[in-house]
Formats: sequence, structure tokens, C-alpha cells
Amino acid sequence: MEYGWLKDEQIIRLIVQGDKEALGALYDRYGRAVYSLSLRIMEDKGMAEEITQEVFLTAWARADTFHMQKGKFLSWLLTITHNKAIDQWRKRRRSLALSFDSVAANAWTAGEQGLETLEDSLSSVDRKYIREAVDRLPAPQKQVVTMAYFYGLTQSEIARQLGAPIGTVKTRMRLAFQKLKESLIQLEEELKSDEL
Amino acid sequence: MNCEEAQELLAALSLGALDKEEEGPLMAHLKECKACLKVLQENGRVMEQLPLAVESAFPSPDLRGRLLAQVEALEKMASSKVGKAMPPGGGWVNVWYWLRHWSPAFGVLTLLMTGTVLGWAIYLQLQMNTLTQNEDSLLTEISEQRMILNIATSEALTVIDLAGTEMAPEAYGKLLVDADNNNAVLVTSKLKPLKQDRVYQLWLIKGRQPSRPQDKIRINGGTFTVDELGQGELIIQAPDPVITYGDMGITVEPVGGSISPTGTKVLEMAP
Repeated sequence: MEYGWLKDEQIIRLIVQGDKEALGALYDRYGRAVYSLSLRIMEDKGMAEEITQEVFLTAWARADTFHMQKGKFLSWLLTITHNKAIDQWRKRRRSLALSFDSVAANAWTAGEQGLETLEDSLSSVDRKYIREAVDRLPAPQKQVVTMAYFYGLTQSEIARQLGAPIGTVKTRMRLAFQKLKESLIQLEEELKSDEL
Repeated sequence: MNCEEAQELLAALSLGALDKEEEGPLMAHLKECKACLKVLQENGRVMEQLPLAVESAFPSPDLRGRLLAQVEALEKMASSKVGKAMPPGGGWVNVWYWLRHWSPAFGVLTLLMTGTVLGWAIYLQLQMNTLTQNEDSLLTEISEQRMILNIATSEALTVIDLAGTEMAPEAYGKLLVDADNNNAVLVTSKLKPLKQDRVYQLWLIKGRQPSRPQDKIRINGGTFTVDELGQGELIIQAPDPVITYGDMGITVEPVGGSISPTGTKVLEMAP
């Protein structure tokens, strides 16, 4: 069977029926996205691959619990990925002395791969939009979002790491989200006007 | 907490970066404030997009093959009646295998249940923009499902079996216990649906000494009802780690629960 043409919901249905090749097709579609996020958080290829495997095994075991009408399958996978990776990272970080000085500068790169054009099934437009939105953030705001999202730190932990008042951290985080929302809306509108 | 203070924390809530002591006041505010809830819903959109901003990287070419081989191995082990060796890999893989192997029917049922709540928890977090009504119950649900998610994915997960008494011989249940804290999730099956004025109530019991039953201390673990299949679930936040209770039981009680057991015992800790 040619799986590449199937929609997510059709692949998921096949997975529920026990079709292992459908799981392979799902991996072909989203494996890189899952791995990229895992690698970015873990900063270790071996651990990122372990998490990637666990995420797809979870998908295999629980595909029937996902309701397509309630959300995107990729978002579901990436949320599982984030939870698993952050759990692992929190355990690991206890033994690491981290410096967050340069966090904002390199936070969104996954390693030594360099920027690339995407060939997986993700919308490169989506990727471009959110990347641009993140890039537009002022460095201090990008830094606190990064420390929370990729390092699993709470606001008070971030304040401690940066030696900044917690109120400053809260404000930076709020402003960052506000700007991300505005940027996403603006970029979407730009796309619509380009399409017309 | 007022709106200004709450909105200073909403991004942190979305990112999972909220300090624990602020969660309660913020959730209480969100129950009352639709404007702040709307901001939280909008944040869900950002959270959905954020992982896509990560630069794409390539896993090893053989990862796909390893994944499918692991699925194959798990399937074989699960269907085999001999050989109790645990599969390679940790965390969920082992739990999944354990449940399926040692208690196949209920293992699958439990996985489905935890899978369902996992999916639902994730859905709630990612699709907040669909929240237009029932904010109160949804907020409670978000909080509860987060807890279930944490327990179900905890590496300190311990499973306690409950068996039906003579009054409900077909019924059974499992407690998924996070040994690291005081939280647990109870799932039951084949309990009889009750009349509207009755509920099932879980009792956590300390001081299990057969010679001195009067010394037993029974803690109310919470009440729940079941669906037409007799399936029910209950989140437990006990005063002490659940694993430290030597015994537990489930009785039928009036709606609202009782101070101490008054009704028929239907489930008890399996021997």
C-alpha cells in the first residue's frame, strides 16, 4: 500500500488496526519533527532518538484515543515529545552546570545541522511563520521563553538564573507571548494577501 | 488575584513555567474571569506552533527500522504466554508491557483509559480556543488531567490491584500510584451503575492489624460513579503517599460520601 498519499486520520486508523507499516509511514511524516524537538531539548543525539522511539511507541499503543476532530495529530505528538523530553532533561540537568548567558542566541537550532529547507510533510510556511515570530522577539523576551520551553524552568528559577527580579521575568514572558500572538496573526494576514 | 496579576502569569501557565504556589490563585481567578481565560485560550495557539520553530534535524537512518523492530518485539512478547522478560527500553514501554502481560484484559483497559486521558489532557492544553462554555468544569478538568498525565507517565508508577468482593464478584480495579508523591488514579471496571442518590467511595486504610481492627484509620479517598459498563475513575490526593496505606476498599455510600464506611463493600485490595 502507498501510505504517502493517505491523510493522518487514515494512517491512524490503520495503526489502530495493527498495521506496522502505517506506523512507519507516520514516522516518515513526523519523525524529524519529533526528533528535532527532542534533540533541541536533550542536546544529545542518542537520548533524542530514545525519546523519539518512545513517542512513536506511545502513538502505536494509544492511536485509538486520539480524536482527529479535536486537534492536529502533529500537535499531539509534539506535546508528548515535549513532556517526555523535559522530564528527562530535568533529571539530567541536576548533574549539569548550565550557563544561560547565550541561551537566546542559539536556542532554536537543533545542533550542527544548519538551516535547511524542509522536505518532510510539515508545512514550511508554518515553520517559517513561527520562526520569524520568535526571531522578532527582543533578546530578553526570547531568552525567558527559551528557558521555560527548552529547559523546563519555572519563572522563579529563571529569575534566579538570570539574577533578575521575578517581576521582570513575568513581564518579559507576558510580552513575549503577546508579541508572538501578534506576529502570528500578522504573518497569517500577509500570507492571505499574497494568496489573493 | 486581579486581572493584571493573572495576565502576568498566563504565559507561564501555558509554558508550564508557573511556580506551584501561584497555580491555585491563578486557577481560582480564571474560574471567575472570562477575559483572562480568553487570553489563555489564545496562548494555546502559540504553544501549538512553538515546537515547529525548532530547526529541523535528521535522526539516524536506522531509527525507523529500530522503531518497527521494537514494535514487533513488543507484540510478540505481549502475545506470548511464556517468557516474562521485560522488553528493552524504559518508562512507558515497560509499563505497557507489564500491564498487558500480567493482567492482559485490564492492562489494555488501563492503557486505553490512561491513553484517553493523555489525549484529552493534551487536547485541552492545545485546543483551548474551543473553550467557550463551561469554563469552571473545564478548568478543573485541565488541572485533573494534568495530574493524571503526570501519574500515568511517572517512572515511579506503581499499580495496585483491587478485586471484587462477594457483592461484586466480577468487578475489578487498579490504582495507578505515583510513588513519588501523594497522588493516584483509580480505574474500575464492571461495577454496577448506582441509583442517583448513591456513589462509590474509596477508603484508604492505615493500621492494618487483624488482631486490632478497631485501630484502623480510614481516610476518605473520594467518591465516584461509573458508566453503564461499570467503568469509573477517581483522582486521589491523599494526605500521605498512597503507597503507605496498608489496605483500601470501596463501598457504596450516599451522594456526597460518608465520614466512615456505611454501605456494602464492593472492591478490596487483591490478596
